[in-house]
Amino acid sequence: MSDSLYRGCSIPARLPFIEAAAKYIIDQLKLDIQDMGEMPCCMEPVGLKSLDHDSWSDVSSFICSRSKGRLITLCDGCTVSLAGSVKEKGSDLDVIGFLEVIYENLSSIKSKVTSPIGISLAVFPGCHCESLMSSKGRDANKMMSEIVEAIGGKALTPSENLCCGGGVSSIDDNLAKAILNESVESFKATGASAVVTSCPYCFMQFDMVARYRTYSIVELTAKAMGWDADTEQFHRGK
Amino acid sequence: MDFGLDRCLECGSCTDACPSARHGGIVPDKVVKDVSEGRQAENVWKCLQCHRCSAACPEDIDVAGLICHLRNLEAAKGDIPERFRRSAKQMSKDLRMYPIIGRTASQRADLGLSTGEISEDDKNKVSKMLRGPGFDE
Repeated sequence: MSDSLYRGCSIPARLPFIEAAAKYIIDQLKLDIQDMGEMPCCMEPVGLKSLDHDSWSDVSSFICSRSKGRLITLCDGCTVSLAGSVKEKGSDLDVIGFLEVIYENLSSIKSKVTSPIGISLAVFPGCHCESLMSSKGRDANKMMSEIVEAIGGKALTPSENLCCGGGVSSIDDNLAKAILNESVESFKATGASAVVTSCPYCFMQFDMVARYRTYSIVELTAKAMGWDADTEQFHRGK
Repeated sequence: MDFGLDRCLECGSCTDACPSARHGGIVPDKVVKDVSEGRQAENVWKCLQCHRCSAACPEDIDVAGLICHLRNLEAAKGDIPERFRRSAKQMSKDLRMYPIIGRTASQRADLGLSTGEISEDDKNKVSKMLRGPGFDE
């Protein structure tokens, strides 16, 4: 049975290069993953879920009901929201993020690397990715580090328990800035030239707000495999 | 809802892992203690919902889930940060947090991606599901 790709709304609307990179990887690896098409927001887990549990539950369940095979997400916020819905309903639907798709195909990806990325990267999967992997007994930092090394980069480890601060942005901006700055300073302290993440919110915070050079792990993996799209216009960080 | 608060060891692991607490925001172990002892929890909207507290808890208490529940209760009383009020309004309008605008549609086309609309049938179904605080304004 095919797996289903749920694209969410932040990546298609704000960071479409990540969607294009994911589709390149799916195509190159000939993975049986079908795009679910136009769907509503997952009822993201920071704001919308905080407002009304029943609305979140109904909408997230609606999305899950449309999935065939495993439900694969591009955004870790979507993964948290939809996996939470599955857990609450006692469903056996498997909801996984695209980092897991890359990781489970790492040997195939490694054999298809034609353009090693050749950069040192602070590895920061993101809070949601890390907590989801932790709940499965896996280590997202280790997984992402292995991916970075497999595509020709050098993985460096910043401090633990960092966050991009996006969850309190426009609620307490001083708090959001302090949390964001703490992370960026930790990335710089590793000696890395950039940070790599799997979360679109982290990407926007580090790249657009902090103006720190930021990459998506999906983008870098596709680039290493020969994807030649010009993604520079989506990077504001230096 | 049962979050297993009676299992709390008061070890402070949740607060040690909390990025907000390190910078003067919410204090997760204080929230757990306050709720356990029947007091009003403070600063629930200064939680990032990053789930690091839940991941750090040696007793598997879903501290982030508790805080989300407390936010649901605050929202039901009308206490909703303006940012999330705007999010709910946007969701009610387009069923998406981020609608695809003209510039993005052009970028998507350049990347070989199509841009479509949620079907009218799905719009009708999902719109009826949005009925709680923030969505009913």
